[in-house]
Amino acid sequence: MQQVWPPAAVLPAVCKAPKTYLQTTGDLFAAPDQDTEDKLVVKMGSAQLVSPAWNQSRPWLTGSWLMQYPADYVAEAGGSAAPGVDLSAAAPSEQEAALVADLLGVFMGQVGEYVVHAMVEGPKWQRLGLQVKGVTEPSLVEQVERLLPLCECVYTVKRFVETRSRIDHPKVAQALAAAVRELQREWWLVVVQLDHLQRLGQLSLASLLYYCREPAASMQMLASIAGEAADQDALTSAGLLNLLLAKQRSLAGDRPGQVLLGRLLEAAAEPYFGILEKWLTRGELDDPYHEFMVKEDADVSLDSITPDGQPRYWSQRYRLRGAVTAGSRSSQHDVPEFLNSSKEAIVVTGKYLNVIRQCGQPVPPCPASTVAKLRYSAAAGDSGSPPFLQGIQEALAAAAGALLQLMCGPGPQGRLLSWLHCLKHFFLMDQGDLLVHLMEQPEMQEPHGGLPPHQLQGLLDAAMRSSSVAASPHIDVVGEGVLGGIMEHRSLLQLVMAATCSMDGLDGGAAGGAAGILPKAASDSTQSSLELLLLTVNLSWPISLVVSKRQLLHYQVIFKQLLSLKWAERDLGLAWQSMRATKRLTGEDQARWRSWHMLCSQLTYVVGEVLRFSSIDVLEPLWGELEARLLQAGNMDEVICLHNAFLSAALQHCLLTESHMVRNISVLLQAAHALTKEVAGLNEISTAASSSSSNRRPGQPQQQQQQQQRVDGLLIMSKFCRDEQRQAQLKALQDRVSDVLQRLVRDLNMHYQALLTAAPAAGAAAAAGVGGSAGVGSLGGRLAGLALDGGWGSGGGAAAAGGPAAAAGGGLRGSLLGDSSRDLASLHNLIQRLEVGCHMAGGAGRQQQAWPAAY
Amino acid sequence: MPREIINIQVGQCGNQVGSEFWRKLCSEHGISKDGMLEDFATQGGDRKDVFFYQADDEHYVPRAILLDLEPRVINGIQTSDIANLFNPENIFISKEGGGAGNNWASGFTQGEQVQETLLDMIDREAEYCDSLEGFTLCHSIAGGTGSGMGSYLLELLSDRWNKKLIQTYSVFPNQSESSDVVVQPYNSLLTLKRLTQNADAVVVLDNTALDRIAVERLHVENPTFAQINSLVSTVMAASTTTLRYPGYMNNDLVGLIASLIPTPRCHFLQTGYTPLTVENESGLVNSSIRKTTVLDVMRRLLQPKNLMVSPHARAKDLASSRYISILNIIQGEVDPSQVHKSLTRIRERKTANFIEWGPASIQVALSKKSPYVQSAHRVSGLMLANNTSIRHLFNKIMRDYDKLMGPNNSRRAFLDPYAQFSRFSDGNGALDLEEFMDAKDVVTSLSKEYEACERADYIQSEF
Repeated sequence: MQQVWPPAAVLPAVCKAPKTYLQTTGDLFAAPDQDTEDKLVVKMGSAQLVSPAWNQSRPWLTGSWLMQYPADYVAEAGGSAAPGVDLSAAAPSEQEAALVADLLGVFMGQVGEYVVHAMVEGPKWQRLGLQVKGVTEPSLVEQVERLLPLCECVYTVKRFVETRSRIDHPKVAQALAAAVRELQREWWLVVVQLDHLQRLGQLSLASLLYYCREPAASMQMLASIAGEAADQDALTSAGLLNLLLAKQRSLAGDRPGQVLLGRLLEAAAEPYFGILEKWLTRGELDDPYHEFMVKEDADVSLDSITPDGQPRYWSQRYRLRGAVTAGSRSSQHDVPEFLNSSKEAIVVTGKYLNVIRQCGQPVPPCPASTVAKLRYSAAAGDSGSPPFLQGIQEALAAAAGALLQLMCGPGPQGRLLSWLHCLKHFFLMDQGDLLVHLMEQPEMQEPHGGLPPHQLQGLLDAAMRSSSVAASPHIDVVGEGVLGGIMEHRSLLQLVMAATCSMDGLDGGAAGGAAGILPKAASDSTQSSLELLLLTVNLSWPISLVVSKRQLLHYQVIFKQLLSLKWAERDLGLAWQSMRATKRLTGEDQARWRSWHMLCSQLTYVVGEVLRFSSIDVLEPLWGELEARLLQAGNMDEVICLHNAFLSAALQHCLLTESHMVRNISVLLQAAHALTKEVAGLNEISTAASSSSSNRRPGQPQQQQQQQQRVDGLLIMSKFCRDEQRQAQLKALQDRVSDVLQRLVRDLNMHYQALLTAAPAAGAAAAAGVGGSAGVGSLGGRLAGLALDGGWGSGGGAAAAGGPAAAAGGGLRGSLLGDSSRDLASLHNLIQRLEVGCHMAGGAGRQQQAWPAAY
Repeated sequence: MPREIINIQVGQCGNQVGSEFWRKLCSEHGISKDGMLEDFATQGGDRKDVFFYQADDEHYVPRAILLDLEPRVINGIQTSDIANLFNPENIFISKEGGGAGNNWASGFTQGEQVQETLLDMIDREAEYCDSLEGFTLCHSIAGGTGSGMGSYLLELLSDRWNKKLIQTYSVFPNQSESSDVVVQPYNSLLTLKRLTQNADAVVVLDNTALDRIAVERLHVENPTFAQINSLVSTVMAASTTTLRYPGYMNNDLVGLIASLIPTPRCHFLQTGYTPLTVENESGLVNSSIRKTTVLDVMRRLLQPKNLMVSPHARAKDLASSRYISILNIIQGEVDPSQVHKSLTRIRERKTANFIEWGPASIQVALSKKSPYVQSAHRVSGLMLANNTSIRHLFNKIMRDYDKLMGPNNSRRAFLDPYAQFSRFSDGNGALDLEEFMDAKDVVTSLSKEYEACERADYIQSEF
């Protein structure tokens, strides 16, 4: 359709070239509608809308004729190149009357005889040009030409209404088209009145000009909107609304124009707010045209997780629709400007409601007053912002409250706190007797190859039932088979890395570096089941939102560390018990044993200190803080954020993120096991001796028997401590322990110094309200970063979820930082106490160091 | 997993103290006087099965064995309000009912004679346990039954259950006033030998100090047995709180005592408790302490006047004494940071002298308070300490013994009743002092061992 008709060459001299007046008409006249036999089908979820084929194939109805007209006209006119009647011969008054009549026709959107259109080349699309033809009177031509812009507007508006009201256009466009059609009708009323005047013979061209002046302004407005809307590629609904809004703003001072635009905006926003209302009050995304600002990713199921173990549902199921325009603004979202300030709140509200729906719970009805506010209105409400923004905040508060109530309330799906208490029991072992039963099973001490999973499960169940955890009021949320054990071949350090590496990019490098110097996971079968044991728990929706795989891994890391400490503590207890019989020895032998006792005592002391530090100094206060804050939390994002901060802080404060520390401690624990193994023989020999002597029971009087038994035992113990090989082993163990202890204390001191210097900087950063990580390795800094840097999936959403979540992030930051002095104090205390143990090692082994005074 | 403990109470003192202890445990766990769980005791969080088991009819039964050679005290218990608490099969009263006549030898021998009965009772109790951790023994070392039969029990337990722990709560006689039991130095010395060789941990409760505390600290003019016993039971109950209220740490007996007793021979523990209360006719008499903080409690625990063992030595001798270890069990809602602060303050003041060859620091175990017992104090604390000054108590006993025995065993006062028993006679009816000599050797070497602990080179030194 590139040809321009009629060709300029055949036009009479007086006829000027076709002219365009509007800035743009977009693609409205780009091409006639496809003359198709196919029905127009628009899919809406499972349903579909069908528009019959004849709806498209009526060019006179849809304005498509404007583009087909020249060809058709040529065909009708039998090839004559001169349509209409040439008025050049008529008198000026006749010319005027004919022109007025013709113009009125054009005003109704019909084809004119003297005011004719032609397709002209536009920058992107062809568009409509208008010209006066067949009129010779220059003054008339001039007058008519003054009306040509209006004619173009009429055609443009008509075409806009016809195309945009088709079902394949989004609802907002349809609504706008409907509103414009209303206005168009009013214009037609004007035309009808003008027609009446004309029939009375009272309408001259001049008076027509006069009467049209005011409506023309409105039509001009509509047409320019239509043109600009049609001009944009892939204009989204939000974009259309923004266009209207911008237009309205540009009309400052033009009161009628603003009113007109307001009317259009209200009408166009109505379907958008309809979707919004359903989304905010019911969590339904009723958006067949995908025009709403929130989009749903149906592939994200309830239990799918991101590669780093976060629940994807929470962070990715519902997201803001990205703007389609490429380039520098691509990071922007496809959101109407008037909702921009609340866009995150809108996503989050619907997400909360959907989580509730996914739990099979009814969504609580939204108060009618809130629903009533969810209408577009340009007017500011009580608080200076439009009422619908208040409505959104109210809906958010209601949804957040409802979800929190569901998760933390007493329902079967909630009881979040109970779940967390259970995790604390199982993974943080706050009631130390949990795994005693397990540790006592000989099966657990054997290489793990021999323990089938069902047997492990049986042992675990028995351990759970017999521990005091079973009596906990929180425990009944854990059903059968929820808790299980797995054999994990990764070392503690590898687990720590898995838990932390993807958390913040800053640490990625450090963790990678540490990976290089790590010993490869010893997957040899010499490790006992107890060494490899890791608890795992199947958390169901919606608890898995808070404790997903990633969070579970954190718990598991802490569990593994605590378990190994507990195990060493228990082994040292056994060693102590094996050696206690030496109190009956006398003199020299007893003195020989002292070194053994001291090593045992030293290890007991150190293991106890580390355990006490990890549990009582670190975990318990952190937990207390978490619990107190969870009770005050206002929404789920805050809850998730708090819980994540807790886990991360727990890992760091327990020194699990410091690979040197982890390794030194594990060497100490190995030494503890070695010592136990060494002296365990003692117990067995003496038991054997006593049982062999009790075999002689019938023959001997009892007193003698017991006497004999004691003497046997004493002999064994005496021999044991005189054995040179064993003495050498003891010496080696002593050296190793004292060496590692000194290294541990040195590393701890360095760590402490680093924290000391970093803490003020982090504090300052937080005080200045600067998020992000203030210094790698800084306890406070990293915490501060964690709370807000969005590393935890929904962090961005949480921070942006309006006031509450962001405030929570800030508050959390402040508080954890505020406690950093406490953390430092307890770390300092640990160092001091380990130093005592260190001196003891030096003293016992070599006696070359100065004794610490009194303590 | 409960690590059960069986409590054996022997003799007049042992049974009186023991029954007080059980009363206390019942009230702390919300168990009524007849063994039923009170309606309000549903909060959980405690571990009743360490010291109790449930009978078929839901009654909680103490893991207790009550032994005596004369019926008076146990009959008293059986007619008291806690008569139905104990398992009647676990109560043993000698058929003769004549008691031991304050004679260690009589108690020991009578114990030997009923060995099978005792073993049956202990075996049965042990079978009720999933994972028996050990025994506690309540007795006094001065009389006949507690000391003699107690000694026999110690030997029996350490031979038969050599993998289990044996902890005793041993009441030492009042040394400051003349006792009606003239032979108590003999009994004490003989019992001390068993405490040294057969027990794993001995909590020394010195009647001298208990009386003093009641008079001076609690302002009771003439403390009754019941009042003294309540002090003892308070200590016993407090020392087991970490076992009964599971927390992160110190959940088994071995963990508690292993850290206190680095070398197994030095296992005599002294205790202190604050703030103390004692019950009299008019209700509760508190000590004058009104406000309790962690620092206050820990500071008071280190004051000798709160120690339940008397020094028995001049200040000059005491100056060299050293703490081998200290464990403070702090009960109540306590912030760990307060504990650190208190420890720092105490360290600055150097109130405690520690040995130079071991981990010289105060261990602190935090424990919950029973939710069912109202207490006027927010924080209370028990100190378990291993201090070398205990040797002066042993020396005092040996001095008293020497007075009776005379130089070179020449005096041998009041020894006739002992000679009637085979252990102290050479078969011809003449006195055999070997048992005494042996006991004195053991206690002497124990005292020397403690003395050696005061030196920095203890570990390296040859004995």
